Amino acid sequence: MNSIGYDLNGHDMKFDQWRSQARLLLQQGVAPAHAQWSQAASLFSEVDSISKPLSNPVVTSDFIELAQLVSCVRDPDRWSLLYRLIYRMNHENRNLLKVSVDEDVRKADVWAKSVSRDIHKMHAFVRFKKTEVNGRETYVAWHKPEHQCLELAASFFVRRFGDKPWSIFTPNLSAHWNLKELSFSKGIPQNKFEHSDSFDEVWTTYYKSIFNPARLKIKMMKTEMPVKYWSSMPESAVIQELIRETPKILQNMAETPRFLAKVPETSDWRVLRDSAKSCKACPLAGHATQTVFGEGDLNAELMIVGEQPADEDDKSGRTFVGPVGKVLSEALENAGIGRDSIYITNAVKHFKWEPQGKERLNKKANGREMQACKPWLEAEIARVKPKVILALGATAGTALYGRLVNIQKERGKIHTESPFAPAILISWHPAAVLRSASIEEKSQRLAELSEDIKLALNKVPGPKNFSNHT
Amino acid sequence: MMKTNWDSIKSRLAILADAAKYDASCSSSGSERKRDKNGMGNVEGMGICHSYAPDGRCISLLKILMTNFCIYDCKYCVNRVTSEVKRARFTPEEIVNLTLEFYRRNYIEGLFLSSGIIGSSDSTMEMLIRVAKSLRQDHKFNGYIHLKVVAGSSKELILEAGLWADRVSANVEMPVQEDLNLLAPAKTISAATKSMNQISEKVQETKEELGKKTRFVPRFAPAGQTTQMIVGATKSTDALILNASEKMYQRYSLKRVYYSAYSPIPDADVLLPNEQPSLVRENRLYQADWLVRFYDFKAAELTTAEESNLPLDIDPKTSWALRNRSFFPVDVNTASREELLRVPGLGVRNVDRIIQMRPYRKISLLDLTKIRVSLAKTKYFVTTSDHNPDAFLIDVQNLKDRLRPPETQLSLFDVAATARTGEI
Repeated sequence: MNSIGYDLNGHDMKFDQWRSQARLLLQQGVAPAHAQWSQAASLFSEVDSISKPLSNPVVTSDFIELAQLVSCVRDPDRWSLLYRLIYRMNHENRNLLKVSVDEDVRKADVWAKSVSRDIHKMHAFVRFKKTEVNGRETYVAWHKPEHQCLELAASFFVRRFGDKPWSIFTPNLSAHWNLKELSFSKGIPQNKFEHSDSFDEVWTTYYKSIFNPARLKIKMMKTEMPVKYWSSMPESAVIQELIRETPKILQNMAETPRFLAKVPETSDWRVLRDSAKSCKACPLAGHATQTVFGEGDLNAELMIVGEQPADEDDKSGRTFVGPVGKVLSEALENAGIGRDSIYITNAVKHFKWEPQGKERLNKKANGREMQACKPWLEAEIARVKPKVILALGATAGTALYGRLVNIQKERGKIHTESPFAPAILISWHPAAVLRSASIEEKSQRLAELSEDIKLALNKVPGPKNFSNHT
Repeated sequence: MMKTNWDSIKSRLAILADAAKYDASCSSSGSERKRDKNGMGNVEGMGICHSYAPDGRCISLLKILMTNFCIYDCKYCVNRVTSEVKRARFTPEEIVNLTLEFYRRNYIEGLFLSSGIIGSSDSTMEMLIRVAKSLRQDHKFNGYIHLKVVAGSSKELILEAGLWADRVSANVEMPVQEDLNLLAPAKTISAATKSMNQISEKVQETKEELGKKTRFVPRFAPAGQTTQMIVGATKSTDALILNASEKMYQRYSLKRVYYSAYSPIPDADVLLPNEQPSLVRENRLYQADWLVRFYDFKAAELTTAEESNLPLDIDPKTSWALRNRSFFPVDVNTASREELLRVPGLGVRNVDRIIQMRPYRKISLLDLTKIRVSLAKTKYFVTTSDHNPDAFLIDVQNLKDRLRPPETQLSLFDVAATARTGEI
């Protein structure tokens, strides 16, 4: 440790002073009981009784390390404890420090640990504020350590922030870095530290948002970040508020409506369909005319999954009728397969709409509605056990791929890592064909949809084999 | 520095920190970097927790997402595509700026950057790398950087990430594929472990090259890799979870597996539990994990065929001891290190202290209290230089009751009381 050549309040001994005096005393053989170490650079009261002079007192590096820490403790007994230890190490047991249960060793260990922790907490909790000193960008902080450990702690900040000048003020002592050397001066009380930094608010914003109210553990926070350090930490200003708001936030989360269709455990498709008719799991049921369940060949190897029923589907109760259905029929015909030999359904089974004049305008179902309805789709898949599923449109894609699928990019690729079927593909929803911006685009998308259906059919392994289905 | 609109940054920071907080990892340890003479920042091995949130968690790094837009629909995630949370994004430059300003004020040890997946995995990963590279090259920043491997990133990008970052990590999320099928159908365990394998091979290779000292070897993720598993979102048992961890520790030389008790998120998916996270279970898993890594336990020893979850009322080591009473008592004055490590209440540090002291002293019960061993637990399992009558109780029926810690108050009462009084 670098010794510094001034004293704080006139009579506080420094570690290096203690060290040279301890050496003297050991050489003269002064027993610990006779050495006095109160405050001033005192030596010993009387040299008498059993003196055991040592010409070459020994000091080990682990002792120096321990002693430096212990010397920071604000306890007048620290110097005599250290002398007792070094005396005993020289006369009793060179390895005394290894005997953790020895009273002196234990006390020194406890103190050293407390100082180490205090230094660590200084490294952690110093909060610099940006300011200008003589036109130069400078960083300043006020911090109150428990022990007198600024000197031991300061070099850390040089190693880390050596490229800019900074000062750390504490009540007893202040440290200053000017890019060349570390110096120390008198401390200042907190109310004399008059710097603010508007950037503290950005930090506080972060602090608030990284907190997870569902895991509130106030005691743990206070153990690790003792309240005694809070006054110089900007984030401490919002702690009360965060804790007070927690119950409300938890309650809001608990009360968020969550919907899930209840599907009967059966492989009887008719039972499934009939139960779906009365499904009111999500609010869509209240606005639609009826549930539109899937239909087609229950032993089909190809299943097509659309997004949700359209206006006409809602009225008729059948899927893919109306203009959108016509497009699908055309594409199926192009691909050379009839509706009867596949199974067609939707990711969401109720029509979602908003009024526009007299029209019912199709509105995309949201994630929660899709999730609510998903058990029906899963039941259909479990019943039909298709070898290939072709998803039409983004909602169907999300339901089956578990992510947003970019149709333009991913159509034509076969997805084989799905829990739903050995092969999954995606293509344009017929509604997207209808919504095309130009005639060219429309015919291109229709052609692509037809191609994708063909590709899906090609993926059906081998000749149609009904024996797989029971 | 460009003129920055801090109000806009603040509002996006609120969203993107909130989006990142469910990743438990915040460690900044295990790496060494000296400050560049033209920049700031260093890493000195031991991580520093610069603050603690009221959830008791350490804040060591600026932990944010680059964006919380995400094409994936992982049910447990607040940022999944079907969630209705507010979305935001930062540019790489904005993140660089924030990191430097935070670091300079000593708020943080560095940056932990992850992202929702936009476009492709690789294009997202490239953006994360750009941030790390700019911090290192343009700003000579030598603080800590942890980059998350975006699921499905290519090997080239993973290898580049490790050049700039102290740590790279890929989250496996769930112990078994069935859990992912249920909650994150677009993710696979094999994709995550493939990334882990690429990282671990490169870490190993770098270590060997460095050992040869024949040429300059660029460092690669000196703090190694970690992963995270979410606990309690599915029915998977602790036995499955610990088994998955043990395998990953062996195969990919992970520094740590993080266990994150699933906690309710806003706009949560209907498939997920709505209860408070089981922090006790999370804690037991960490204890068990610790026993596997530092106490020579096998994961399989910690649960039984009848009970595939760790007991909540008692720690996993005590629980093992109660099932294996014939192993005890252990003589603290003669037992091997491995035997001492199995004694409930004796930690690695105290075991080492005992071994260090033994040549100089016969160790008594009182000595154990002096090195702060909690006798309440340990006394039934050891013999000492003096007479220890409690060691005779090892076979009594109600030993478990004697060992069980007193019931502690539930944290929810804690919250309610605090909310009422305002006292913290």
